[in-house]
Amino acid sequence: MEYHPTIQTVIFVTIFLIVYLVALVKNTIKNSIDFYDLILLSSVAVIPSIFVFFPKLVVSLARIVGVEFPFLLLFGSLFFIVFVYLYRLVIKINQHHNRIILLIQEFSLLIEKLQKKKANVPEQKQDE
Amino acid sequence: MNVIPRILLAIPCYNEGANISKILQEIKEQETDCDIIVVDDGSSDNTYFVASQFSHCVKLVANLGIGGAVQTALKYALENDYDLFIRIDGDGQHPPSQIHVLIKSYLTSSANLIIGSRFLLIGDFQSTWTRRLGIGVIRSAFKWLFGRKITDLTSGFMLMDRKAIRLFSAEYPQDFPEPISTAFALERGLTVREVPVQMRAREQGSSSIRGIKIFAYMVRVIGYLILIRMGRHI
Repeated sequence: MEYHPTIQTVIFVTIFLIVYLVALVKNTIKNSIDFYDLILLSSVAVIPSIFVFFPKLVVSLARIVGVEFPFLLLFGSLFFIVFVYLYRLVIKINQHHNRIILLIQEFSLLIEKLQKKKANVPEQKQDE
Repeated sequence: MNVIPRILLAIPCYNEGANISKILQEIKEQETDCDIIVVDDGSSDNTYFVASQFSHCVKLVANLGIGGAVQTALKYALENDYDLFIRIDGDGQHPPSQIHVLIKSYLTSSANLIIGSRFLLIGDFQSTWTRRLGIGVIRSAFKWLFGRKITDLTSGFMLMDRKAIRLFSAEYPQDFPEPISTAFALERGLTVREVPVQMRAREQGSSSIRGIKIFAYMVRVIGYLILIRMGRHI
């Protein structure tokens, strides 16, 4: 089974790879995404580029895995990355959810404590 | 020498401006030796204003749901070194006249968690068949999973001792807190007991769990119960 990407595909994937990676790196430097997310998100561009730049490697890999068409391997790996990313997101969201609950509770209890203290101050002054 | 336990009576409520003063008034009439804390779960009405005229009140800056509100009260109890914690709902379903039933039961024979049950004396209550079916299935699942028959798993009228206060102030279920906290208590080796109490019909509004939602509630509660039971083996 032979598979040769066209020159248009190579150009398109290269442009996408550069633009996308630059955007990701910029966001990572600005702390908008963390390093682990950078790796996961960059794979969306890196995996197709492997298919374009190393077609023979991909054909061999497809044979090893036992899939007939290399693009099945491409979509399979991309789906896997998306699931890993989703899994991480769900855990992160739940952690944030628990932290928000904790913060709201502690903040509300602190307000009550301060109000109680404030209400006690005039009484203490009178006692003095 | 018997030391009188310090008791905190916690009333979590959300938009109960119309009911809360009546309940607080009734509690005062009972002349119980309890400190009262109302946890206003981010109400948009005058609940906080009304409640703070009668007792201490914590206003949550955002609505957390019943689990979050009860846990706030438990943290307050732990911080202020209370021996016992009693929770009653702010919607008027738990008559303050029944508070002494829980306290008396604890003083007679202590347990870490005492649940006030509507069904211990009268059996099942009159309700829609879907609601009865839902409660029956959850009760059976609970008995099968934890080997204990708890007649009123959805009762929020309960008493907790120091051990339970410590446990639940750190970890309290946010979803379906009543049945899940009971399962959680049993799983952590706490003693759980039920006492018969009288409850009233809701004075304002209606239950949020009705119609098809009962089945969703049933499935989710059973799912959580299975997870808690599995937690022992994972």
